[in-house]
Amino acid sequence: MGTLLSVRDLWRSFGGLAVTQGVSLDLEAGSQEAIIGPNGAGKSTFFNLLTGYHRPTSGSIVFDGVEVSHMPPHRIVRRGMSRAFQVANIFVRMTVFENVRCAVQAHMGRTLDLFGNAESQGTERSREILEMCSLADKAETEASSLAQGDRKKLELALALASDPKLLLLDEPTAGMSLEETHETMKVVDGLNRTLGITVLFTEHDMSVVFNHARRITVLHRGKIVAQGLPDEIRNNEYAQEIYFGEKS
Amino acid sequence: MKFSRIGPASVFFAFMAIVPLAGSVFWTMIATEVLIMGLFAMSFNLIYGYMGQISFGHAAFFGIGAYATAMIGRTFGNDYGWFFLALAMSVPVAAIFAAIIGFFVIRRTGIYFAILTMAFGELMFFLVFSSYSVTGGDNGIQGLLPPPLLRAPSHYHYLVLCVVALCFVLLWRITQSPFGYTLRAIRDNAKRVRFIGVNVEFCMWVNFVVAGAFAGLAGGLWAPFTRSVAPTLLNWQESGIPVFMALIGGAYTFAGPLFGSLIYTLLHAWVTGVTQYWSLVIGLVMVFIVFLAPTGVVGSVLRQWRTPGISAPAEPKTPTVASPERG
Amino acid sequence: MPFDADLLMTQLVVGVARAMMLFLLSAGLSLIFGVMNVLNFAHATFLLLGGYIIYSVYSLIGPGILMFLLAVAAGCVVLAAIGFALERLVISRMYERELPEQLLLTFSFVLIIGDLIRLVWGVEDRSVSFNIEPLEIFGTFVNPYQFVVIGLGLAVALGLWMFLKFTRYGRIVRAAVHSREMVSALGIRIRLIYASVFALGLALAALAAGAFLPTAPMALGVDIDLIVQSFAVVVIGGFGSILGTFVASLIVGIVYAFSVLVWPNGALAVVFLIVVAILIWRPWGLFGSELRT
Repeated sequence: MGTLLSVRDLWRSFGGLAVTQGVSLDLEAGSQEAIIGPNGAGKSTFFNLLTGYHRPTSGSIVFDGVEVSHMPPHRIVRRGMSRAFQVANIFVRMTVFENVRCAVQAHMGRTLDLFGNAESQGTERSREILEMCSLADKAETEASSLAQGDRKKLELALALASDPKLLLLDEPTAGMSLEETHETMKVVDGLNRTLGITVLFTEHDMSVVFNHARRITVLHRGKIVAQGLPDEIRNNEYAQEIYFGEKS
Repeated sequence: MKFSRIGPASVFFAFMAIVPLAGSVFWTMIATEVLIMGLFAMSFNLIYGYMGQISFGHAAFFGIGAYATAMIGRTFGNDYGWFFLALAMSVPVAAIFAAIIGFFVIRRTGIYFAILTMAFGELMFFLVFSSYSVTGGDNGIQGLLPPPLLRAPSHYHYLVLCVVALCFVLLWRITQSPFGYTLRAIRDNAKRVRFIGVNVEFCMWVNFVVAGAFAGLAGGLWAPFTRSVAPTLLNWQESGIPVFMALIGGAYTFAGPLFGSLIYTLLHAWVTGVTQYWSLVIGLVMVFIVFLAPTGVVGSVLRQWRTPGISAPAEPKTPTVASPERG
Repeated sequence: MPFDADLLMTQLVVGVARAMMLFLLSAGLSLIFGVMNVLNFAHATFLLLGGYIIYSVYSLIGPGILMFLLAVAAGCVVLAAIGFALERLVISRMYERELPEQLLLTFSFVLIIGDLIRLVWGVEDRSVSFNIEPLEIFGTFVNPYQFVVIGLGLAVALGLWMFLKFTRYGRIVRAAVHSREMVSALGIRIRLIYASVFALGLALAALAAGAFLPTAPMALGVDIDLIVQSFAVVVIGGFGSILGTFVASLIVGIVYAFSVLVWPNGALAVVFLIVVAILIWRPWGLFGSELRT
């Protein structure tokens, strides 16, 4: 398997403050990896850079053989990189099903279909995705009345609608109960193993990280300070010190 | 389509169809005004209720449509072919202006969108006002006559009824299309829509143009109705009208603005018969509505009756219009 | 029409004076938005109201420049009182509401106050004029009143800046721009701050009316011309920055003054070309922050 994502010497500063300082990272297709680091380490900014929400000050991001560092978010999504947010970002005044159907129709390129009937397009695929994220029973619920855990599941469902090759998950289990965490990570493992989707996630819960990531990258103050297999990171003194020492 | 969804609207259009039968020219013309302004308000609501941005300059397109029809009508006379062409041309002309203005205003959302639409609307008003040689300036254009068979108020009313009913169906289709749902998604959370692979700015621009085109048609119907056009058709007060109608009727119901037009137009006809201080009255009415019935009269009534609603989007629970990008 | 240096000089003075008037108006608009996150559509309508009040007070106590200044002071006080009361009674109930409702409320004020002015003062234009000898500068005659306006604008700009930077109240106001919760948490009486800021904004509008009155008449509809130009100012300068408002006011005022020479009917359009350029190049404004769009 080849390299799906290749980040080289990525920099980004906000008003003189360098938040991302020369990050380089390679991701093999089919892998499932985690990025960890204390609050403010630059994880979210890193995701924002990858997905085009912020433009890097310098550096390159090659995704699936194409330089994407200057593309707007929607074009990067269409190339097969999608993300789920840490704080659920959903369409609150639509039902769960309409949420996913809208994303599926966007992936089908139906967004500018002004006169077609939305109710007859992409419904099969939407049901499938809801099934996958165990949200099928809540399809007709208005998104604003979902519980926190279900919101995060819907967040994942929206990310899946674009049939991604690479899925970026920002704290996928934040705010979930133990049971929901387990369930969600099982879904994520399934996406990776059976559908071959490459997964890169950030997570605060160390047991989730060590159980579900095959490789871990430690980010601290905008720089990569350690990288390795879970066991290596567990025993890496530097990582322990900066991460576990400062863990809030 | 279930009856509960189209029921109230069917009753509305049926009622509009029988008004001229009563034989009163006054009430027939009021009904025509309700329909034209209702179309104007519904076009505005594509931007407000569905896309979540509030425009205080929508009259620019209403006025441009009216001027397009008036100027073509003035140039080529009022035989049937030219009349309908003049009427139809209000759509592309307004759309072109909406395309140009929209290109700039959709770059900002929330408060800035409101500011920019009002500012550009006033700019268009000013340009029409001051281009005396082209538009007649302050005097506007007078003496526009529809062709003979359409001159009777009741006849013109039925033409307007057909056009507005057709637009009603078209607008319904648009709001139920994948595009319509994408607009709702943008309204709820514009940032997230980017990450499902949608070019948000482009969608907003397309919607701005579509809304401008329908407003243009409403203006095109207006010019022969009042036999004249004047620059005030484009100004900020005119832009306030669809905003008021949408809020009176309920912006989160499909046909709400149409009912808002009914209430507003009747109120206007009554109050202006009593006092010249209409602005004061409608201003106070709006202050009361903002405080007492923020979901609009129709929206509030519907909630009281617990009927399923005239149509699609649910009542707002979480305000997100303020700044979709901030979420 | 040949442009000689004299004419350009005159227009420059007129433009800068106009810019200062716009600054007084826009600073209040910007301050109210920055602190309370409320857009006051009716800000220029309050200017108009202030202008009519100043006119009426002046016709009672005038004539004379000193009496005029007294009338302006009275206008500021009345408008500040109106602002304070309005914030406490109406605006303060809107902070938790949706943006469109807030906009609709202040938009309704434009209609209500406009009609109230018509009710009280009628539809005639009202103006105040002094017979001041024009001042000769470099061979050009300039109305010295323009320099008074310029001086006033500079003084207020400096005063506002120093107030925000160096006084305790100013620091609280600036903190409120960044985080309302934090200011409330500090136990500061945020409600008093809000009402005061609104009062200050309206007093500045009355001051702008005072600057405006001797150069052009108060008339119904003037408020819309002014609010549109003020909107252009805040879009160009970016909300919430006194410096941005100041620079943008200068740009709009001067560009407007010179455009009038070339294309009298299209001066506003030229101002809008700048707005359009800003929207393409820096949508968040010259001095606004990219993150706060």
